[in-house]
Amino acid sequence: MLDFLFTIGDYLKYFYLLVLLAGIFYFRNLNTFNIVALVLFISEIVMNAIRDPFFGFVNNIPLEDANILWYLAWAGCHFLTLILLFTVHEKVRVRFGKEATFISISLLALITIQGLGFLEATYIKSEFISALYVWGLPSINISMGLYLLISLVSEIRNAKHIGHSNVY
Amino acid sequence: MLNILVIATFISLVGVSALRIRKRAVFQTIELTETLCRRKFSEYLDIVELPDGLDKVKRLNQFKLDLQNIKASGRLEDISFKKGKAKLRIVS
Repeated sequence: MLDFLFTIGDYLKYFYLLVLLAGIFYFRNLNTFNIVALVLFISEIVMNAIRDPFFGFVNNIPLEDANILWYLAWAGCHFLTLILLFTVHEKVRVRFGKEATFISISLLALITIQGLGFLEATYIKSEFISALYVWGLPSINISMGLYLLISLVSEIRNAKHIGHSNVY
Repeated sequence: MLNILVIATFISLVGVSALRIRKRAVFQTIELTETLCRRKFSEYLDIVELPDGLDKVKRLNQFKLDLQNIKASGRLEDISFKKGKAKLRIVS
């Protein structure tokens, strides 16, 4: 099951690309949905690209330093994604919508879990936190993609239902 | 010592992110109501703009009253308020 979640996680960048293209095709303007899909797509590409070389690097250094670097680096990546999301919204003056709010809270949860993972690896030996780290990270990653998909589908369904898209 | 610094960094990251999200939510509420007052409602429903002299709480309360009246007219499909944030669906 865990391998399955990680496999889905590997293909998330393609999923975000498809969602982004669908969003551009459907909305035909720069809105919060398209910004979120674009930021997540860029973030996934960058994180997938650095993951394997970085894993090789931390395997060759002492465990204590490796723990610090590993957890801090991913928390930093999620934090940068969050800041990028806010910055793009502010630069293009688009309202921070429900998709962006959900994704930003998910990113906050990811940063928190990375912090807990670091605590678990260095001070607290807890089965619960370990399980939360192993299962929580891929689950939240996948839920972000699923939320975008459900949001797009529900937007299309609402637009068909009431004649036009007008949900604020 | 280094570990304590790392933990402090984690707490900072979480704190800054949470504050940013909270700040954004407040901004969203004000912008949402004012945008709706000034543009969307006047386009769809001929709503008179709220007086600029009123403070934000009074403007929001007035806005809520206006929305209830509009809902009674049958053109609003759905309306909900939570912590000063309005979410609505308008039938064209």
